[in-house]
Amino acid sequence: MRCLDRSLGRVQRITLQLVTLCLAIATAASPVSAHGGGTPQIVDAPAGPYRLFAWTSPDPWRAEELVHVTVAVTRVDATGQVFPITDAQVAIRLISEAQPDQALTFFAQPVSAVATGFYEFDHKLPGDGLWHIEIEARGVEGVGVVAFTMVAEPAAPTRWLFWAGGAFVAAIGALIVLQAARQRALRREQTGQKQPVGRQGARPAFRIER
Amino acid sequence: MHPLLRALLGPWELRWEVLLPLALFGSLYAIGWMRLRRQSKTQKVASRWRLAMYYLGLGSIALALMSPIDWLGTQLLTMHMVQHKILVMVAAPLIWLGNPYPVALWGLPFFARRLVTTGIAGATWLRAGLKAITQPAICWLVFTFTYLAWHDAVLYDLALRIEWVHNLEHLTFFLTAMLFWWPVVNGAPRLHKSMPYWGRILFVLAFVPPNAIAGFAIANSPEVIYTHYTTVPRLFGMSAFEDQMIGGAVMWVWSSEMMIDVAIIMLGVMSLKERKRKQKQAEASRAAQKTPSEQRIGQVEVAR
Repeated sequence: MRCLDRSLGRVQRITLQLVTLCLAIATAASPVSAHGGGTPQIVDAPAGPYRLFAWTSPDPWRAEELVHVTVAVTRVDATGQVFPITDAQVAIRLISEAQPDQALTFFAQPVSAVATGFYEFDHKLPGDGLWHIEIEARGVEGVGVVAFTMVAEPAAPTRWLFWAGGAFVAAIGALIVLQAARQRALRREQTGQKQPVGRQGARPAFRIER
Repeated sequence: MHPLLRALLGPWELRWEVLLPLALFGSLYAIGWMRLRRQSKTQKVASRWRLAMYYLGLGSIALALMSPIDWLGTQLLTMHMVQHKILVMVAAPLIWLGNPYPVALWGLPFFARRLVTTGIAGATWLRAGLKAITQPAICWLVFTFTYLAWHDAVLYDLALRIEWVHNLEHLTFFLTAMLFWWPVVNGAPRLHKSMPYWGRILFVLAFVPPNAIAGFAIANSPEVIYTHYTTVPRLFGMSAFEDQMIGGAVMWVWSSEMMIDVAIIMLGVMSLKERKRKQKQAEASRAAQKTPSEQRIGQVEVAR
């Protein structure tokens, strides 16, 4: 590292240190996959000893796309104070109306150390149609279950046409710019015009005020 | 410890889309600053206080978008308002005070520096376009409109429901705030004639009424305007209604106070400049009133 330090200039060394610092911060920070709320599906629903909340995204759900479910598990004490349940086991069951015997069960993970009592899971939805979603929260106080339904739309058509169209437009734009530049250079050559002063050689970007 | 305080002291969130631009602009500024300091340690462009202002500005963006304030903003309107205030009222003016354009420009490699200066300093369409859209009146209107429009109940709830809309909200807040503070701080590149100090005072004070009306309306609304907050668990001992009252007050008081503070600072700078001008005038008139013999004595003393 010292050898590397000696071979680098001061500017490069500081840049390297800054990048290292950013990477260190990035590594120290807790990764969170989703921080957007989503569409509320269950709001303050009593489920056994708990009160549950659930949000889904995107809106609408689509087959072959990643779907996201966030669940908040809370408990209300006798004074009406709401507490997050941080050590619950949250199981989410997805049951397709088309194949009710093939339920998919997942365990949601805590969102982050800050979002206490919040759990989430992501999954690529296998098919479209009506989906019955069951959320089961299990903790030391007991078990609570809530359910809701979602309608998933068919898979979106492939987007390669969209990207190909974009690439085509970009290529045409680049060709126009190149052609214009070439014609301009040609015209200059024909008229024997010199380049403007501002484009000749090195020139300070601005004058330093003292 | 209060749950809100405990949450605020929690770990920061990794967001590459925030961290990478911050690292890029921070590095460019650091390299440019060092290059300029190597030329002269006393020049005004890359001074120590400007460096501090710039990094405080970048730090404010990180605080708003990567600290627990970001997640708390989805649970409490008050924290969401605090987040927006940090972006538009703290980060944007601090970054301008750091004089980012000339310093970061020197952080670029030569070809990129020439490209940018040719685009902005030369007679180009880029400069003409920038000049047209950065008229102070347009800057004021764009910021005020964007700021108020995002506080519409439908848009605000949409931002809280869909992540990319939320990011777009923050990006437009910050970019239009940069436009707003540009003529106030008079940062480079200076595409227009500098606004006189009284003009800048009027410019910032003109923002107080629309902001105060919006903040007052939110704080005094008889029902919860942003329904998203009725769908989240009330974990911090505040009902959605109480939260809305405090959030509206934060919007109303913080922004108005910030603008009044800036106006007072401008007044102070204006009176300081006026005093200096009068001092110079008095000195000049004293020198003119000296008798020819006194002037001769002065010249002899100087010659000695």
